[in-house]
Amino acid sequence: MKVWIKRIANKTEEQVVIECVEVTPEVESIQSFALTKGTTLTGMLNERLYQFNLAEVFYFEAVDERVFAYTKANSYELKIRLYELENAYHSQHFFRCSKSFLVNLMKIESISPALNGRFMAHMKNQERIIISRQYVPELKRILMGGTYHGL
Amino acid sequence: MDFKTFIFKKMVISYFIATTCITGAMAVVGMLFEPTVRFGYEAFLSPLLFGAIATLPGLVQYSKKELSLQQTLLRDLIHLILLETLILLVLWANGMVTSGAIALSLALAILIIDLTVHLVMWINDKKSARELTSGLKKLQGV
Repeated sequence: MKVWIKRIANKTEEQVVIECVEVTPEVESIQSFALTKGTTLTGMLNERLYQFNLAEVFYFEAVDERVFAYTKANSYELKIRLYELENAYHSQHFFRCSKSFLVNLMKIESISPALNGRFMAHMKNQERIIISRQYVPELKRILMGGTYHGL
Repeated sequence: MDFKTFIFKKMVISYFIATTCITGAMAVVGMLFEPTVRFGYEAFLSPLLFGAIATLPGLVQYSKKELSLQQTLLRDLIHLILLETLILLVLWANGMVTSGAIALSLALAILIIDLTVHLVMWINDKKSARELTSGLKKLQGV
């Protein structure tokens, strides 16, 4: 695939155009990636509001009615519910891996088995997050391109 | 996991693995202790029956909620104790346990079978994890 970068003056007119014969999963992946790059979130850190890029987020965690976004260096508190984040960003590679975690698939280094049908996501920042048994079929469906049939 | 899924996914897989392992264990224990004994076709039913008996204690591992690591290990231990007790009781009631040495060998065989079932499931999960990681790398364009 050829890639061009054209410099423009106005930031608000920045755009990514994909020219393709067919919208394949690879094309959809590029689209999702481009969308995360353009999306910013606002979160609270040390009683100050900060803006950060969605693509920087490793995972979101819900703790006692509060939701946090974890980037490589910081954790920001957000004024939004976890299911709202899930609905908004599931098409941008954010996957609900347990009741209280929404993980960025682009930030997972590898997956290993854990006990009792669960799996462990090894994040690129060395953290580890449990993928609950009930969410494993959905993850298989996403990552195995619909070829997964149950067992 | 709902009860129906638990039965069809976990119990059925456990049943087939246990049946295979029991067939192997019966052959080994039989050759060691009663090498001259011969059986009729009905002997083929024993692994199926004992497979079913061995699968029953697996019900203790069912939970609607996801279990923690400690809860899982505790239930695995309860499962093993129930399994050993149930199978040895059935064998004893049918006059198949005639000495302490046989009882000990059978208990050991049951332990090895139980560990094998866990090992096979773990290998299966390991394979799934490899496939998931490979799918992940494809998604990430690595």
